[in-house]
This record gives sequence, structure tokens and C-alpha cells, in this order.
Amino acid sequence: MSATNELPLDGEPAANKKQTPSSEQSLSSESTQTSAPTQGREQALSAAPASNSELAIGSETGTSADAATSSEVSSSREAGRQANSASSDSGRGSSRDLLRSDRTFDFSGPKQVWQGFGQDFKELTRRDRQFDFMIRVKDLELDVSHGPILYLEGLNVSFDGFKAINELNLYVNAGELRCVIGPNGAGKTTMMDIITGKTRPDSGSAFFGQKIDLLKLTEPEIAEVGIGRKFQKPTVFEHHSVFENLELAMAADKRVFPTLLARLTGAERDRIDEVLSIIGLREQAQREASVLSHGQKQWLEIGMLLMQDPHLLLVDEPVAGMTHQEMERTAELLTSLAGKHTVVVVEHDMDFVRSIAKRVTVLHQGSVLAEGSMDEVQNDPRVVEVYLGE
Amino acid sequence: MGLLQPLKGDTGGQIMLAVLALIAILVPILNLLVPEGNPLHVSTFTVTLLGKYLTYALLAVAVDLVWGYLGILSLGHGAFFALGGYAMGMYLMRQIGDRGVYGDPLLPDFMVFLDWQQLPWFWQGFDQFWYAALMILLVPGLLAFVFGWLAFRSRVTGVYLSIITQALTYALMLAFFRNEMGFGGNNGLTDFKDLLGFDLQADSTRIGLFLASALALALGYWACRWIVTSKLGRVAVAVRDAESRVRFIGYRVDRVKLAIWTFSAVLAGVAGALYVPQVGIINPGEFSPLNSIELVVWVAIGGRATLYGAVIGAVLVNYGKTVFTGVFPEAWLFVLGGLFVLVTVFLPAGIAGLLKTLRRRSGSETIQEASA
Amino acid sequence: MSRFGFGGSGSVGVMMLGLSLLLVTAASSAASSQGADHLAPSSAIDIRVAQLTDTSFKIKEAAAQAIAETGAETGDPRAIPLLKALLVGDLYYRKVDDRIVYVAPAGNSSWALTDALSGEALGDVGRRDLRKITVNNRMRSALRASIAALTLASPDPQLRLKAAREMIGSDDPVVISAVRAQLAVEDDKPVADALALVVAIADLKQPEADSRLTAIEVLHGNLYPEAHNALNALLGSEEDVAVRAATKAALDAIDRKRQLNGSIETLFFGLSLGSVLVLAAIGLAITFGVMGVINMAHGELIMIGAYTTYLVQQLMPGLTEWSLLVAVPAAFLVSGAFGVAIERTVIRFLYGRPLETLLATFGISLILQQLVRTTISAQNVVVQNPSWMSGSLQLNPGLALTYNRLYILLFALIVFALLLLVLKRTALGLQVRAVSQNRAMARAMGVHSARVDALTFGLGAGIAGVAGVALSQLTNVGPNMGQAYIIDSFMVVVFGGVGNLWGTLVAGMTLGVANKLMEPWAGAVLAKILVLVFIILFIQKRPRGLFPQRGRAAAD
Repeated sequence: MSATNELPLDGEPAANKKQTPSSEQSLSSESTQTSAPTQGREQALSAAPASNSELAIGSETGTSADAATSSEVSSSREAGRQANSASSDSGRGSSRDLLRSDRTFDFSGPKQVWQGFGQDFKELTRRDRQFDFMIRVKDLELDVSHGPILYLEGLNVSFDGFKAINELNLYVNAGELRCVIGPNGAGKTTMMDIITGKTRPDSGSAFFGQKIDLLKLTEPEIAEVGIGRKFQKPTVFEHHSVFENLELAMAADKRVFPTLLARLTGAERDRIDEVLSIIGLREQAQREASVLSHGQKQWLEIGMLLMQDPHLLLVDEPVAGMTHQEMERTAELLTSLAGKHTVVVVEHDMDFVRSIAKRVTVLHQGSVLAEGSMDEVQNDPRVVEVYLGE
Repeated sequence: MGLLQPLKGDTGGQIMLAVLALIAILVPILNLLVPEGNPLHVSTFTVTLLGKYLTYALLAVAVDLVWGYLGILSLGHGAFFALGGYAMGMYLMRQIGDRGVYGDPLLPDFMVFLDWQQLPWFWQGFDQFWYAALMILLVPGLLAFVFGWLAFRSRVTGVYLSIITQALTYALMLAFFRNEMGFGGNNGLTDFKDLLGFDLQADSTRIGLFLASALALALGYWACRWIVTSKLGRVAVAVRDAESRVRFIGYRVDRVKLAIWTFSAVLAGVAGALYVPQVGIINPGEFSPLNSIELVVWVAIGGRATLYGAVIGAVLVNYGKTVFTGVFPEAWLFVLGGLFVLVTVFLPAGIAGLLKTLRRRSGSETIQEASA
Repeated sequence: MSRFGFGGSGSVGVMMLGLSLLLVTAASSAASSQGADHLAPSSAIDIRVAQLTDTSFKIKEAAAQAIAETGAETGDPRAIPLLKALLVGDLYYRKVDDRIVYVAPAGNSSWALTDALSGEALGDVGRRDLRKITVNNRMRSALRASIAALTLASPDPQLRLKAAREMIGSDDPVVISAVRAQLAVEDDKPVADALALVVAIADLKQPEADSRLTAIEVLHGNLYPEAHNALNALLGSEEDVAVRAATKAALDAIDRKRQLNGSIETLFFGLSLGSVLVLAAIGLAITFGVMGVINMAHGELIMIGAYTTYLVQQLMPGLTEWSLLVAVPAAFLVSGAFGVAIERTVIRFLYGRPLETLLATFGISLILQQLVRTTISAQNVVVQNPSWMSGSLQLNPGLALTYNRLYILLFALIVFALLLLVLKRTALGLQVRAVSQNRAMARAMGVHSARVDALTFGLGAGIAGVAGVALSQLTNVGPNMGQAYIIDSFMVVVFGGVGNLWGTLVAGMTLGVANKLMEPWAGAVLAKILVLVFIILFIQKRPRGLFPQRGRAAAD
């Protein structure tokens, strides 16, 4: 493994001038280690966000110091990586290439299509290429030893010229309950789309823990590594019963043949029952989801999220359409989940946010405007302006 | 009983299978044991006609599996049917041996006619039934797998998918019309003599094929039920209703689709293989996009996402076709066209849906009576 | 004798021609001189014309040649029509007085006569009162040569060019010397080129190598097929090394030019096919792209347009030239009316269910086909081509673009431009785009979405009808013609990107040209299969076509 893997490192120290989603900036720079999830990966990304490292982290993570320590740092992390994603590395670089070419060609004219084809073909014929489908997602290990579970750095997304996400940097610690607020069009939902793989950013990086590059994974793979999402508009499976909805969401081997042969065990049944009582839909367990009220569908979605048992829960507007009591129950539920799980809540309802939030991030025009406790944020003149200025 | 598990709660399917079993027992008796003059006698022609309907029914079940439960409206299932048919046809051609018009021991007549000197490579092995049987499963399966792998991976869905399935069968039709392809061009494969040593013209062989079709339909139906009642079936329906949501809870939608799609294509291939010896010919017309769309209408008329509805639709429409083309050949296209329109506009759940509402209504009436 | 009198007059070419003809005439007319000479001539031509009534081909031939000579000498305009009529057998004489006449049918098996010399109308007579002046093969070839020589002297360059073309490949020294003479004074470039070609091909047989080389120089890269044939023949027989090399070089030059011509022709055929695809697909692009309706009956709406053309021609017999101008709006209205009817009775129940619209409209397509079969005919019908649609535009001697394809290409572009204008610049277009983007919002803002839906579908259908008019000029018109186009049309729309008219244009032209490019080595059917396979693969790569709609809305 090492031969191909080490080469770019040894041969090109500058390669380490990459986007290290280190916690220096957001987490009072106590970790002097580069702590870079991307460390030693490849230069493939370096072209696009070259300016990124400065913007995001400040220049101390930059070149010379990094290069000097690179050998030790990498050796320790190398060991860890050898254990899990060892042989995948050489292939990963190229797979990133592949992804990138996919992305660029999506936004370009016909000419690039052919280049895209050509590039793909080149990729396919490379001898050291390891195909994505040969890498089991299960082998990817969530590493939160440095605190944050989610690193978003230098993200940019635009739709037809409209910048939905603009140089967004966001870090969420493991076990945290974080609320994200912001006016309409601030990019909250788009941010979630990026994390869950629905939208690919034009540039930037998104890491889950230190080792899992979310931009390389598909939606189901992201779900499998432990990120669950509740959508803004509740989307449950209308033609399935409430029970079946939960059964489908349940953490299990979700490959085709195991699914074909799956039979519910007693423990699984108990787990579904438990969630049914948490979300208060025990009575409706056998009814079709289509007959549920809007609030009940919200609960069902939360229930599905619980069944997935993810490390990170992304909850988009959970209390829309709920009564006051239901909101309280939701607040209780989300607070109780924090700690063991990490919860990111996007919500418009300020009372609700105040009731649950320890830490609040305000998004505005696609980037972070302010971050801190609810009180700090509320007193921030910029935030006031954004909200009042509307 | 584990084996009957998939049929639990499927009243329509149980009735359908019971009727199928009844026909499978009665028809051979009425054909072989009841003398010809007797009004109860079932002619061999009718037996073959019924056998043909059953293969259509199996094809319709295959379409319903992907359309009703997975949301893929395939306008190209006729291609898999025809490929299975061609694989069988190639075996039957090789069985003719030197009894063809030109008497060539190795080459089928059309190759002699085209002045070919040797058997093309892809005809090798088709003299063996086991090999042909394998190809009946493999060829449609492989085509479906490759096509599906490409399409589902890049998330081609909905109308786009329907249109490229149609392009697929259209391209195959054009290809099979070419003499150079080596499948008999325009005329296709015909003049079959025997199957596994049984004379295809004999009544007993006809009965045997009829029974094989009935068995294939029953097994295919059972297998589809097994899939749709499994957790995978529930995932499939979830894919049909909210594809992206399924991805976010961690299922590989493309692989779910690919597996069920490929299985459906194999079923269609088997149906085609049983169809060919009964009608005695397979030609490129079977690939025509018209056929594929027509069979979607069988399913729509029967009622999608019920499986047994597909059987009802296939048998009814084809029976109607037989009757109409006999009596008013001109009116058939009006009737078929009218059915397309009426069913999609006024009867979206098809006959099965109609039966269900009727049953529910009568059920609620009885409850009311009981409470009164 | 008068015939000796004209030797000194006229141009050198005509004189030489005249002399050469004279020799032949003198020999052949010796036998008949006594029969001819005793008639008192009113003019040189008249006397010869009178001799045409003779039964002897020899005498007739001599007379014809004399007419040609006289015509050349005096510039008598009656000579060429006379000889031409004689050549094709349109010249008769009246039995009662041997008067030479042109005839035209006057109904009731009677014939209207015109005096061939005076142009005086002589009234109607029965067929029995006339006798045709017959000619034999020998006379025919002599006549052709005479006519050509006469026309070479014509003041009209078009006629001279035609005459020159007819002489290409001729090795008659008499003809060649006449051509040479004309070439010296010819000032029209194409005519001069053609004349030079005649001379050069003849010169290839010259005994001196130098003359042959000069001739080859003229033929270098010449696109007339006769030049290629002559050079090829020379290559087979030539012994001189230098001449052989020059011949080869000249042939290569011709081949290169032919290749270029071939490429242009392929491109033209491709664009022509592309324009047909665009015409067929563009209506679909509206119903599919703007409304999300999969109209499988689109092909049948094209068919209805083609049948409208047929019916229009039936209703206005004898006005074929104008029929298409009437047929275009008629087809638009008829197909459009069908479209509105389909939308109001079926489609409107199915909005938001594209797959259901596919099935329902397919049913409609079956009904429409059968309707045409039962009301008109199950057979193909004959649609006339107006004369301005036939013929071709001769770009160079090896390349001609047929007018019908050229007009249809233009027509497709015009229809495209008009459609674009309608969608971009009219109130209807604005409403259509509004409804297609957000139905509820458009309705809230006072757009009658039901009316807009009907009109949009009608517009798409009407354009299908217009496409049908164009197709009726290219292909057979029958109940099944629509089916042939429906899959191709869908491919074009999907390839171009749904909801993008420019995409449809580019996709249609690309597919047309690609198809024609592949045809030479793959054959028509295989080319089509390859195009289909390409599109299937392409859709995997770019599921939303060449020019996809993007943005938040498109992502769902």
C-alpha cells in the first residue's frame, strides 16, 4: 500500500498544504496537530480550494510547519488508516478525480461532456485504480477523537448564478445539540442537502469525523455511516403502515439479498414498539401513513430517524404543524438524544430554539453570520439587523 | 406453511391460482378424454390458445412487478419476452436437423438460403436443451442487468426511463430485421418440428406445453408474491412512492431496482420461451414497441400492483382480441385504443381495483346489516 | 444552286459546320435532287420543310440538315423548334395539302393545327386527316447534332450550356471543330468550361503526347463524370509515362473534389434528415417539455397534417403549385383542432401523471390510425409535389442539392424561429411559460390555466400538422406514417433536453448528421441502431439531455 500512497507525500511536501478541517479556528486552537481528515490524501482537491486553507483556518496550518511535522503526524495516523481503509487510499485519489469530473461536467456545456467521457475512460483504464464499489462503507470508521463530528469547510453551491452557500465553514462537536437558524434562503436546507449527499457543492469539503469524506459517498452510504435526516416537508412512505415505515428505517443490513430474506426478530419488534410509544403512534401502528395528520407525520419521521439510530441527526423544522404540547415533547426528545447522539436542528420557531439550544449558529446568505449561546446571538447587532432588516 | 406464506391475505391471487389449477386439471381431461363430437370437448386449438394466454399472463405479471411495485414503467418488456422466445426458437431450429426444406444437417434453412457456409458462433450449443434453457434465462437477464445497471446507476427515472426502454426494444427490432444478424431476418424462426423429441403438432405435446405454461405462471406468480411480501418488496414500494427518501434511510436504490428489474426480465424471457413452441414462430415483430405498450395496458386494465390483476388483464384483453379480430377485425384497434383511454382516465386501479371497491362496499353493507 | 451560296457568310464555326454538313448533304441528296429542285421555293427553309413529307428517310434527312444549315446561316428562329418537334415526333403534315403542322389535342379526338412555318392556326381536324413525319435512329442522331450546333450559336447562354453539355464525350471531328470555334469567341464562363471540356476529352485521342497533356491539364479536377471516364480510359491505354503521370494526378484531383462534394452532400442529407427530425420533434418538445405530457399520438397528428395536404390537393385539382401554401395553415388548424379536442377530453384529467398520459395518448394514436384507415383508405395515398419542389440546385457539375430537401430545411428553420417568437414574444407564450413553471401561482395571478393548456397542446399539435405537410413531400403518406416518427421524435427531445427548444434543434440536426455520416459504412438500419444505442448510453451519462434545465426546481 505504502508505495503508491506515500509517493505524493514524500515527493511533494507542498501537497500537505491542503484543506485541513482542523478545529483551530472554531475550537480555540488547542489541538496543534493538523488533525486533518484529509491529511495525506491527495492533491486532487487542492486545485479548486487553493485559497481555502487561508480563508478557513488561517495560515499557520500552512506549508513549512506542516511539511516538517508531516512525517510524524502521518505516521501515527497512517497506522490507524492502515487498519481500516488501508488499500483504498491509492484508489481514493482517483475516485475523487472521478467525482470532480462528474461535478464539473454537470455544470458545463457539451464540450465538457466529451472530456468527461474521456476522463472517465482514462480512470477506468488506470491500473492502480480501485473502484468505489470495491470499498465497503462499513470499513469506514467514525473518528471523533478531536472533538468535532462534522467539518464543513469552504463550501460553495450556486444554482444558476444564485449562491445558495457561500464559503460556509461549520463545525459541530460530537454529542452536541446545535440549532441552526437564519432567514429564508439563508442556505439551511441546502447545507443539509450537502451533508446528506443530495447536493454536491461546487467547491469545499465536508467530513464526518476525521476520516469520512462525505463528498465521496452516495446518499445511502452517508446514511450507512450514521447520518440520519428528517426533512422539512415530512416525507413518509404513504402506502406503508406506520409500523412498516419504522421497519424500513430500522438499522439493519440494507443490502438487497439480506433485505429480501430479512425477518423481524423479537428484539427488533420490541425496538419498533418502543419507538412507537416514544412518538405516540402506537394506536396507529397498522394504519397507512397517508391517513396521518401533518403533525403525526412529523412524529413518524422523527421515529424513523430514531430507528436508524444514527450518530448524527439532522432535523429540519421538526415542530412545524405541531401543537404546543407536541413541541414540548419534541424538545424533550431532542434534548434527551443529545450526548449519545449529535443533533443539528434547523428551526424557525425561536421559542422552540430557545427551549433546547445550548449553541446556536446563524446562517445568512449562505455563510455563518454568528455563533454562540442563544443570548449572545440574540444580542449580536448583525443578527438583529438581518432579522429586523427583513 | 412457509411455502404458502407469500399468498397470505392475497384473496385475489388465491382465487386466481385456484382457477388456474382447475383449468390445468380440466382442460387436459376435456381435450384427451372427451370425444371430439361432445360439446364439452376442448379442441387442441383452444388448448394452445389458452397456453398462449397463460404465457402472456406470466409476461404481464413480470411487468406488474416492476411497474406496480417499483414504479418503473417499462415499454421494453416485449424485448425480454422476444429474446427468451428467440433462444427457444434457436433450439427448435437446431432440432429440425436435416428435415428442413434444403435438408442441410447443420444449417437452418434461412442460412442455406442466404448461402452461409457455417453456423455462426452464437448458434453453437443450441442443439442442447440445457444450454438453450440456460440462455433463455441468461440472455434477457444479462441484457436487463447491463441496461438496468447503466440506467439506475445514473438515476434515469420516470418518463426518461420509459422512453429509453422503448428505444431499446425498437433498436433490437431493427437489428433482428437484418438478415446479417443471423436470426432469420424478417421471417424469423419457424417451421419447428419437435421439442425434446416430442412432436410439436401432437395433441399430447400441446397439452404438455399448456401445463408447463400454467406451472410457470403459478411459480412465477408465487415468486413475485414472495418478493413483494418480503421486506425487499416493501422497500420497492417505498422506492416507487418516494425514491430519494429511501436513499436517505440507507438503501441502495439502484441495486434494489436492478435486482427486481433483472428478475422481471428473466420471467419475461421464460414466458417468451414457452410462447414460441405454442405459436410456432418467432419474428422481429415481437420486438415492436407496440407490443410492449400493449402489454402495459393489460396490466393497467387488470389493475397494477396486484399481480393477479395482471393475469386477469392479460387473459381478458387477449380473449377480447381473439373474439374481435374474428368478428370485426376493423373494430379491434378502436376497442384497444378506447380501453387505453378509458382505463387510464376512469379506472386507474383497473379491474382488480373495481373488484376491491365492490367487495369493500358489500362488506360494509353486511356490517351495517349486522349492526342494524 | 442556292445551297452553294452560303459558304462565305456567318461565323467561322458555323461556316465550318456548314461545310461539313454540306458534304454529307450533297452526297445524300443527289438521289433526290430532281424531286426537290423543281419546286419553286418561297424561302430556303420552306422548300426543305416541304421535302419532309417524303417517305424516303434519305430525303428527309437531307431536308433536315438543310434546314439546320439554313437556320444557322440566316438565324431563322423557326429552325430549332422545327427540328426539335421532328426529333420527338411532334411534327405532322395534313394529307390534303401536305402542309407541315404542329398539332395539339383539342378534345373529342380532334386536333388543333398550327402551320409550322407561318404559325397560322388552321382549325381542328380528325386524327385521320394527319400523318406523322417519322424519323429513324440515324436521323435522330443527326438531328441531335444539328440542334446542338444550332443552339451553340444561340444568344441565350443557358441554351448554349445545355448544347455544350450534350456534346461532351462526342468525338465527331465536325462537332469538335464547331465547338472549338465557339470556344474561341465564348465569353460566358460556364459555357466556355463545358466547351473546353468537350474539346479536351476529344483531344485525349490526339496522337501527340503534348496535345494530350494540354487536354489533361484542362480535365484536371474536372467534376463532369465524362471527364473522369475519359481519363480512366486513357489511363488504361496510355503508354507515354509523362502522360500517364499527368492522367493519374488529374484523376486524383477529381477524386479529392468528389470527396469534398461527398462530404458536403452527406452534410446536406444529414441536415435534411435533421430538419425532418426537428419538425417532427418540435411540437413534441412543447407538449412534453412545457406541459409534461407524453403525447404518443404526436406521430398521428403528423399523419393528419399529411392527410390534410392530400385532401387539400383533392379539393383544388389543377392547382398543385399552390396547394402547399394552402395546406400549411390548413394542416396547422386541423391538427391543432384535433390536439385541442384530445386535451379537453382526455389529457386534462391526467396532469401530473406523465406515465398515464403516455398510455392514454397511445390509445388515441391507435384510434386515429384506424380512423384514417376506415374513412380514407388503408393504403398509402399519393400526394403531388409541386414543380417548384422538384429539380435541384446545381452547385457544381458533381453536386446538386434537391430543392425539396432544401425547402424543407428552410421550412424547418422558419417554423422553429416562429415558434420561438411565439413563446418569447407573445402573451400566450408568457402564459405558457408561467403555467409550465408554476401552475398554482399562474392561476392565482389570473392566467386561465385550462385555456392555456388547451392552446399549448393545440400549438404543439398544429406544428405536428405542419410537419406532416413537409413530410408528405418526402415520404409515403399512409396510416402508419406517424409511428415511424414517434420514437425518433422522443429521442430528439430527450437528447436535446426537455423544455429546451434550442436543445431540440441542436439534437435533431446532430442526430440527422450523425445518422447520415454512419450510413455509408454501417448501412441505414445499423446506423439507426447505433444512434439509438448512443442515445441510450448518453441518457445514462446526462439524464437530462444536452441542455438540461437547472436549479432548485429541476433537482427534484
